Amino acid sequence: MALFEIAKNEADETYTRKTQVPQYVPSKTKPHIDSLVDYKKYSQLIRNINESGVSEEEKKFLRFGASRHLMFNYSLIADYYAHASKEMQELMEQSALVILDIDDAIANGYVKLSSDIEKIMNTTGDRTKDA
Amino acid sequence: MIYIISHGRPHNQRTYNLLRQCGYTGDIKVVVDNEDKTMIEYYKELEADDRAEVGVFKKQEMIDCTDTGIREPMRNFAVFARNAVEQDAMGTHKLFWVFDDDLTSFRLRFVDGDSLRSMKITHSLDKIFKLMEDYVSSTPIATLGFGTANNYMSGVKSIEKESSKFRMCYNGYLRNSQYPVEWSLNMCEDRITSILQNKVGNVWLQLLCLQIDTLPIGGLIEGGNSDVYRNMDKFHQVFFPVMTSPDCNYTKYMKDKWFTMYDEKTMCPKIISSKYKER
Repeated sequence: MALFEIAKNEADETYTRKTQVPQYVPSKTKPHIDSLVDYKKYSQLIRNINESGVSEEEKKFLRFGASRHLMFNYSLIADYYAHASKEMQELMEQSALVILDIDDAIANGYVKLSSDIEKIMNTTGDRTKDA
Repeated sequence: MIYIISHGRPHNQRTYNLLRQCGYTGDIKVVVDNEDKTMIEYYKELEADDRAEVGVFKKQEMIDCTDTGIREPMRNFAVFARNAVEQDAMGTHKLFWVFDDDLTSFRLRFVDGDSLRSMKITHSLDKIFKLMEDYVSSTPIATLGFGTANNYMSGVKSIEKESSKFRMCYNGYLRNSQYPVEWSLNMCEDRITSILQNKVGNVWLQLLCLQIDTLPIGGLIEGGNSDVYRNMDKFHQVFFPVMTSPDCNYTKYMKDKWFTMYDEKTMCPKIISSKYKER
């Protein structure tokens, strides 16, 4: 698919000299939905809550609290979004699970801004290199 | 409009001096609290500048309306001034800048061959700030910050990484009042609020080609909250981010000190191109 011709940054620590835009490039591969959230700590807390002797009301509250320990992997979520159905995408957007850069305004503006600042620095005499 | 948040440093206005030296000609409001014993001195310091004024806020009122995360808030922290600035700016300024009072330089960071170099901004701030304002006005960015020293530790790699992961706004930032914010927690409010805002879909971003330098936290300069940081155990400093976002913040004990670390993958939603949206 043409959309995925851009090489994905395989690991978060990799980089390419061309990529400077503040956009994540989703993977060509759709991750399994179970991999989008790490439930380890959450499950452990839920188990402790369920086995406890506190009241049902307290358990309900504690379960909400435990959800703070759900670890959403936003890289994988963005990968998933790129392959999801229209309806799923819209629901993901409503939940702010990804931020859509409409018409690449953030990315293109960021590159232009960086370049314009460099031009100003080169033409106005702020030239004291210090590192 | 630029707001400089300050406390107890009327005669050591590093940010104010830096801004004027680097060519900023616009309005400045130095924001202090009504419990600052040096408040009167600020007026004297700024009286010669027609485009600078002192703004005083009532600290107790701001404490009362700020979520500090603790029962007895520590009073001498920046979160109250940040929220006072938000209240002052809303409805008055579409865009506004906020800086700490201890900035030492603005620098352009750029790649030169295999090296990451820097160039101090000496007199073009007006033009550069205008460009940044134009950018924020034309995008849904809520807050645009700068790079800070920690962001450049990997040399050239630092600036060429996918920059959407740099979403923290510390020490200095441009705010868009279209996206109101309440700064949260007694300390580390910059980091905590950046994460919380990004998590709900507001775009907070750092412009990595520009770095701001500040004096070290708890350093030798008096005033601000240096004394509080010097006297406080490090555990308290790292605890707040973990308390608010345990899904992405964690503590690490290294070389006799506690540090807060964060996992970039679980910190905030990714910004992706709208070309990935199904039509």
